[in-house]
Amino acid sequence: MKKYIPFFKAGMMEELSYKAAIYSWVVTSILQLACVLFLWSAVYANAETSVINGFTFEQMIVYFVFTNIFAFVCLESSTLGMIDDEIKDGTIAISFIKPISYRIRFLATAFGANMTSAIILGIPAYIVAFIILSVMGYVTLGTPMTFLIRILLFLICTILAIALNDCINYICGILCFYTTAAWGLNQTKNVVINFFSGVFIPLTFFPGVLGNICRLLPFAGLTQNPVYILIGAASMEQSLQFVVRNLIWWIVFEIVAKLLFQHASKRVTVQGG
Amino acid sequence: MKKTKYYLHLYWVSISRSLISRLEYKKDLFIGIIGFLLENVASICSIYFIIRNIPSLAGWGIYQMGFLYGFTMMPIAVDHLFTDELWRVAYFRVKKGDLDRYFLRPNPILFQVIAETFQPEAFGELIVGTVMLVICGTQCQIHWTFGKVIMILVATLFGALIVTAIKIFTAAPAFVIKKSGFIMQILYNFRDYTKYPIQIYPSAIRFMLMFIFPFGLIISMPVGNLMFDSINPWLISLSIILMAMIFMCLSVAFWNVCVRRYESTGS
Repeated sequence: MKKYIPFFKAGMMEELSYKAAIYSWVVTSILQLACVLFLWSAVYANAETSVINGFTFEQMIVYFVFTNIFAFVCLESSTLGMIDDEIKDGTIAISFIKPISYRIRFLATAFGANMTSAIILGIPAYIVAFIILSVMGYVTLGTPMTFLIRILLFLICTILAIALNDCINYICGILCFYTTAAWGLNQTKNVVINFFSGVFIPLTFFPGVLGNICRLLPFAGLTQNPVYILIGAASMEQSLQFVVRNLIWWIVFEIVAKLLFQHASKRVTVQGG
Repeated sequence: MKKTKYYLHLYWVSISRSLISRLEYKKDLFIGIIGFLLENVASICSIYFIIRNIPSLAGWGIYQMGFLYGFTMMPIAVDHLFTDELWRVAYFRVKKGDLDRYFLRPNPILFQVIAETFQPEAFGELIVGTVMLVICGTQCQIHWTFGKVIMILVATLFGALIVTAIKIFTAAPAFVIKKSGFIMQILYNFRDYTKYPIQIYPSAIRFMLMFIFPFGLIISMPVGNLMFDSINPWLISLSIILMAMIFMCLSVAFWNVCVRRYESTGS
């Protein structure tokens, strides 16, 4: 355990050096949220009912505010890029002979990075969002006890989501052993995660069978499910289910990653170094 | 004339080098195109999943929205094809010290930067955009005239010039502050606003989209005219050309100011 602490710290330091990225995120997400606000007020103004697919206008705004924060704070993972860099400059050869697990090293880095962004950005953003939205009457906190349980379940679900997300990144990184298309892989992975995890629109908007399948896919657990727990849109039973589902998917993905790595590490081609 | 020929030749040589190195990694290019196609499919599906719940959005039906989405890709794609290197200048070229060699050559820096890359992925954008325009366009009952055809061409080509000008303007500060990618990203993101009818925004934002970040002028205005015959198409063409000239002059001037203040990072 102890030997992975430097990687945890490195992840934290790296995250701190991205001040510019954070400023631009704040501006970009305010612009995006404004766009979402105008779009949905127009949609609800043109709708025949005040509830669309189970969402009122107020609930929709709450949903988008929190998914926006969540996606930036918790879906950060530089694992794919790091593996790609190591392949390109040849340092991967050294990484392989180090007496540490290649996988856990990245997991530790991802947790370090996410911890920093949660502390300096996530928690303040969540608090501000909760204060503003509850003053506006858009979100209810419930009794202190239920709210506390909600936060606790949200935390567990989020930690599992971070691990799952990092594992998906790791698998894409391993795929770079076969092709050098890191940029394209990253792009594809981002689109798939954003679309199927409910960052673009809530999964209840997906029609029929597609919607039912998407709710069971691992991606739902990466944004929509934890956010549902946090804003109180999921019952206690559902919340527990979301947590268990994330755990199961994470284990499945780790097994896949392990098998893939065993195959891929035999045929890695180093480009330089 | 001789000078133009010289630059064209130089551009051709430079671009063919870039293409050769891209084609060396065919799998990468293919995966890049797939990623890009998926991005648009996801975006189109999201809009469709929203719109199918309501009869129309501020008077725009589903096919009209599809046409609008398709058209947002056209000027962007043309710009993307030629000037993708500006992103790299804004994000990391200066910091890595890659730009020093440009200063040793007798050609304008801006020309050298743009001649560095040709982005074949952008053909994917042009194809998806055109497919959307054709499929949705046939369902929209557009009353085509000669002026409207010209307007669409002008909006695509001069619109691309405006996008390029915005990119030059936001890449330039990188020469002074080393990294300006995030400024470019923020301005570039304003194009997302034009994926929806401009009528849904309050007037302050509409004004901004027309004159400050003129994505509205190059996308919402021409498409709005096709759908609802609002304003004379020639007037729109004229204002886009004028705006493109103003933006280009300002950007190039600003670029030159910033280039003069360049200091190598020495790495």
